Amino acid sequence: MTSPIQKEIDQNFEAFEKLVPELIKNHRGQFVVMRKEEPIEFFDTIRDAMIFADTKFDDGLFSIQEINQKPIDLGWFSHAPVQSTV
Amino acid sequence: MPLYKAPFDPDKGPYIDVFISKPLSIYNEDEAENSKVRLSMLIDTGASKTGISPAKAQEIGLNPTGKQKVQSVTGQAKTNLYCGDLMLEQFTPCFYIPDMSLMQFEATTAWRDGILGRDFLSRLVFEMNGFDRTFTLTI
Repeated sequence: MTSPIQKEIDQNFEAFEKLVPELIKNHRGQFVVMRKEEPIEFFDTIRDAMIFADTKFDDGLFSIQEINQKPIDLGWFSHAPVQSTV
Repeated sequence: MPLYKAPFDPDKGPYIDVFISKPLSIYNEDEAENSKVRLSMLIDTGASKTGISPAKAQEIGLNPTGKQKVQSVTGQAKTNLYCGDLMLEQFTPCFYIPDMSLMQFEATTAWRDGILGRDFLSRLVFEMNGFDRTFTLTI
């Protein structure tokens, strides 16, 4: 069963993927705090984003996304799981 | 310059023990210290990002903070990201990387807890000597 935190992260990521072409114009490389599929605030470091979100949202239902479109590269000999195909 | 030298098995690659804890920027010192877990990590120059197994993330007490796409030979997938502090206690004082973004990485082999990618390697000097089967980290 999906936890509420995981559900929030999954839903926010779906929303983030739609928003990223627009967000990247003015916020490339920044970190956005998202809640209920909406961008809330932008920060230069993940530390500042985490401190903000942890203070503001007691229920822990938020996510932080770095604003870039580069996927993680695992090289040729990958053992990464495929959780869900894109 | 502080240096750590260790042997490696050519069949498995260079491994190093690291400690990862909840980020000290969020949690108090006691809570971060108590969450510290030792992981055996493969130094992987092919990976752009450091990753840990979901079991170890749970042991540390890290919740996912977000997600990112992952590109591998098997295709593109999405994986959870965590944020934690990474420590190499082989150095005195300890080599410490705060607030490191860590991807969820489910290894298919039991002898690894995660991988140290190029985001980690960009913080120090890494050398491998294939003749005497040793590797060196210099900070």
